[in-house]
Amino acid sequence: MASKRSEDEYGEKVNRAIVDTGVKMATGLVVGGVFSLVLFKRRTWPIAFGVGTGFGMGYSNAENDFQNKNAALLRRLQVDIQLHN
Amino acid sequence: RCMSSGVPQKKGGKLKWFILLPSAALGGVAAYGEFVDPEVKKLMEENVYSPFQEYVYKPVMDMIAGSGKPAEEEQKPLVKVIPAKPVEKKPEPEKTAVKAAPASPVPAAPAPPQPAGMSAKEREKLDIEQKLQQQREKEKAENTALEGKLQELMNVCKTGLQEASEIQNEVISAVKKHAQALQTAMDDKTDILNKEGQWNAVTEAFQKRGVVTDNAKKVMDSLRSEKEKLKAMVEEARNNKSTKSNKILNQAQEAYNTVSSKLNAIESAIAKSESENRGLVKFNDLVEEGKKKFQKELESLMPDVKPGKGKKLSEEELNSLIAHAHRRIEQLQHQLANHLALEKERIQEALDMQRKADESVCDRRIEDEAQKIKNNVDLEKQKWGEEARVQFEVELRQQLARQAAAHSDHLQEVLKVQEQELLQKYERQFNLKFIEERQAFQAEIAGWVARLKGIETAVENRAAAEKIAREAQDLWLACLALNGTIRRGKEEELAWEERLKPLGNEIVAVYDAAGNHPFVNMIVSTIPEKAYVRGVWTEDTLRERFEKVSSVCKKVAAIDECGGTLYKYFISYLQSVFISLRSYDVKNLNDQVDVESMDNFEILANASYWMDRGDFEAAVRYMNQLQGEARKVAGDWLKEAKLLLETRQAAFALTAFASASGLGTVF
Repeated sequence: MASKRSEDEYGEKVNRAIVDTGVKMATGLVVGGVFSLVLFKRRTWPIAFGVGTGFGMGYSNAENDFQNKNAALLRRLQVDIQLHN
Repeated sequence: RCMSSGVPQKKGGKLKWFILLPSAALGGVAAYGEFVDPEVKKLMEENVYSPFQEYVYKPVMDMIAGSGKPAEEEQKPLVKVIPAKPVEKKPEPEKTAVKAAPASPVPAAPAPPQPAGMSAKEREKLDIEQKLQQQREKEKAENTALEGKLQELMNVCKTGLQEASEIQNEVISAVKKHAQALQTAMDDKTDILNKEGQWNAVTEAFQKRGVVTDNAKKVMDSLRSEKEKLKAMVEEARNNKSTKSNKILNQAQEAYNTVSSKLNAIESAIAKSESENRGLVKFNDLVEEGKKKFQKELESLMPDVKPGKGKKLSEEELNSLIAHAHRRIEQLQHQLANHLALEKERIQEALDMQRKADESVCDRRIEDEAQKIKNNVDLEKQKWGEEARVQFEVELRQQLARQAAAHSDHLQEVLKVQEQELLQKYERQFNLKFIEERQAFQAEIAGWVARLKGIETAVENRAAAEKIAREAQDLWLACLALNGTIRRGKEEELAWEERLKPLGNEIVAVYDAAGNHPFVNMIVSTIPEKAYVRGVWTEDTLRERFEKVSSVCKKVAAIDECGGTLYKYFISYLQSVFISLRSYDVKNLNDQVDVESMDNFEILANASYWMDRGDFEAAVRYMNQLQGEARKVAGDWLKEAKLLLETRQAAFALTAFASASGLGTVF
């Protein structure tokens, strides 16, 4: 965002991933906590569930961010064509 | 304390200071004025030197010199008198017409102050003129003196003449009176008692006559002498050629003539009267003689008796007296008879004598008249001579004038003809010379013009060469500017992106400086537009950026372009932690590189190695071989690096071109 340099993209991606994951985990924590408090009679498993959900979501986002699916598809197709030929 | 010097101070010790100090001061000021400051010298001259000279030096010198000075002063009036005299000289008759001309300009320039640049001839002429003038003046002086003297003499003669005539009258009257008195004394028998009185009257008259005659003689003598003087003067004047032609001589001559004639007349008159009365006087003398004889006889007879005594004479005496008287009477009668006899002869003799006297008188008169006539004739001759001379002069002058006129006419004609001739000659020569000169001049001018043209072409060529050199210089400078901008960018900014300086101006400058050179045009066209508009990253910034790029690339070195899971990223990161780029062997630049075999780490190692060594281009070349994600990561950097390299290449080409073209013009 601030820097448009390509080498900064990695760094920013990493930042984003961490921040995102953190936020999601925190939110999960909060939602889990709420759920725990409200629905599940103060058991600990919704908090963990929430945190884990948060982490998972964050991780998945980060992975999507880092990946370049189009390029992967293109590569697979190229390989297939080569294999075909 | 008392004086211990031993030498008593003199009372007048101060005097010498009064003399020494002022003189020292004067000397000092004079020396100062002489050597240092001319203004002071002027002041001194005004206030000290000239008064001293006037009031001290000159009087002293005059006293010493004495007579030398007055002579000097006297010379000055003489000089001044000469110019004044010519004014009086105008009535003087001039000798020749030629001398008349120099006479008039000479009075204007008196001799002594001669101008320095006069030639000898002019000086001679002036001397001659001076002498002439002096001579004329002398003559004039003599003439005036002569005139004065003659006038004086004439006046004297006139008065003398008058006197003489008066005296003549007096003499004649005195003589007559005397004669009359004598006559009465002798013949008058009526008044015997008064005989003594008559004889007294006679003696008186005789005395008076004597006195008057003496007077007359004196006057006549003086007059004669004056007349002689006059004559002598006239003769002298006639002999002296300077006064020969003075008119007054004629007057003097006339006066002389009249005087001499009148004198002669007077003398002759006097002589005549005297001669007339001589007879009477003789008679008287004879009577006197007789009386005396008788007296003697009486005395001899009667010695005692003195005549006039009152004593009565005795008878004897009386008788003797009577006898004597008778005897005497007889004697006298005898004598008378004799006389009567000889009367005729005597009368003849007397007549002869008278005739002789008359003749002599006549001769004298004739002489006088002859002299008078001669004098008149001389006078006339003189007058005619002068008139003739004057006329001759006039005629001569006329003839000379005519001759001069003819001569001058002739001269004028001849001069005119000569003038024409000379003019023609001169014109011819002048034209020839002029044409020559003009040709020479034109040839010279042509030579100079050719040179000038040569110089012009040389200068133009030089100017063209200079122009090219200038243009090359401009181009070179523009290229230099471009290079500089590429190398530095905007130096004052800190952020890398802000260091970008659009190269538009510099490239335009290069384009303009090159004129319309095709090479430059082509090269300029290869410069990418981004460089124009946005600018290029400087090498330094790219180097700084490379660090980050390299580290990031190293972190994602194992990931290909498909991207990767987080896991792959993590593993790549882990790998990068354990790999050190320095552990790789770096390939030499000139070796052939098999790019396929190199993995990202090796590439990175090479690139960073060469980057560290300063070879930007090699680093970029290696970085360009990156694959996968690393490539993506280094993509921007690479782009910028490529841009820079392109632009730099173009700039270097332009600089090389500028240098080459500049170098060409230097030699």
